[in-house]
Amino acid sequence: MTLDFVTQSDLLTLGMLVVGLLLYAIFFLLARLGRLQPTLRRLSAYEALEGQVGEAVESGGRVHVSLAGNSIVDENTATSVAGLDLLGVVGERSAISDQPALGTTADATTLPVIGDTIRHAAARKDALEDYDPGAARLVALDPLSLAAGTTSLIVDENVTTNILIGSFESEAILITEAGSRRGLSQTVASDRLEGQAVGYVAADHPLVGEELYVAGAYLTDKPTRLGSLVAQDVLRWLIVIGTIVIVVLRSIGR
Amino acid sequence: MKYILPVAIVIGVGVVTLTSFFVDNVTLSLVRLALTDWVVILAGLALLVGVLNLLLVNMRKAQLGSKGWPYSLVVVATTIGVMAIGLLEGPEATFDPASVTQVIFNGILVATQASLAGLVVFFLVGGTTRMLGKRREMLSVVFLVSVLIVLLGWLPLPLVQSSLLPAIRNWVLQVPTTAGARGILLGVALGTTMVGLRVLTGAEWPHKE
Repeated sequence: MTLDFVTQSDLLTLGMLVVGLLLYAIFFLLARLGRLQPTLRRLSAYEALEGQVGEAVESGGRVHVSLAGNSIVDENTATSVAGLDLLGVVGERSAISDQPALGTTADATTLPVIGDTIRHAAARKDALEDYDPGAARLVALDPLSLAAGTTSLIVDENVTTNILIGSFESEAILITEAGSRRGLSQTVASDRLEGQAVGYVAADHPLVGEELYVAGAYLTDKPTRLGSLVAQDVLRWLIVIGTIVIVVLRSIGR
Repeated sequence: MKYILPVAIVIGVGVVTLTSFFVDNVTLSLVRLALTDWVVILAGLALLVGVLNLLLVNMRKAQLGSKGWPYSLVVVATTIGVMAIGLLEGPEATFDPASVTQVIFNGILVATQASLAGLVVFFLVGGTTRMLGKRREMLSVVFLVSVLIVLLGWLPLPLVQSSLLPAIRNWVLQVPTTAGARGILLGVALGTTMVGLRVLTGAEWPHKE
């Protein structure tokens, strides 16, 4: 058995994974012991979530969370997991409502997990009898069709808050435009540059870059999420410092 | 306790798959390929479940007379109709441009998606206008100026091309835009890495109670 590094990037990847794992372990333990209390940067999307869900509950409306066409069996799985994290929080906070959260996707592998997430959220709030299996929906099988289907869904299902979290690209503007015309409060979080640009333009609360992966740290008190967020920040600073060092060394001819 | 077995499976499969990328071992590679094949089979089954979900939700809407029920009827009828045509023609129809399946795909689906995609630019303009009204801040102005520079800089007019605008456009695209995009993508990569590590260590379980 040989450690076969095909390219230098494989070595860097492995190094980043090992360092990330070590940092995560350290900060998770510190968070678990209550010794990690970082000051989190304000993100309007997460600050507004409580109010958005409350407004939906009080008005008899619904919170819609769309996970785009993200799968749980390919390279987009991490974004799907981040979206499910947020869906779980939303599902829990809207479980007491007559109309619980609605989760949509354009990928069939994510559909059962969405349903399970909403069901478990209802169970945590002792509202399992109100759980509707139809709260998880496969709207279409491609992103553009999902956007088209969602524009009518937010009207038919009396949606008052739109949360788009996934690998949305420019088609997200179709959904946000329909939401804007109905005066919905909208949050867009995408790991794609086009989706983030659309979110910045059209959403009330856009999330840029890695902000979509930190919902758990902002909305729950789980030490795993907090430790992960701090480890992510430290890893970013290490990469920035490493990049600057390499640039300087290359510039002086080393 | 009931989640220990699924978490153990996730961790085990994840570690084996990840290790097989770095370690040159035939057994590990075979295991990884087998697991990947199982994923493809499960994804196919999930697709059937998803289509069933689509049909059941829309049939219930039509049955209850809920808002938008005529469109739900259209969805159900179209889904069943296209599935029936596909089953009758067989998998070879996918590669036959004259088949009914391909005619439906190219003539209806592709055309509809193209028209939807064409709406995107108009909605973006409308969204930008609304953004400038709602968020009157420096970043919004910078956003608008950047968009105008890039769009105008692409105009194939002699007056534009002979001006400084193309050079400014190139600088905007190659320097601040590329730098910002790389920074954002680096953050996304780090976020993806940390979520992946949480899954591999069993700390992330999307539907755990």
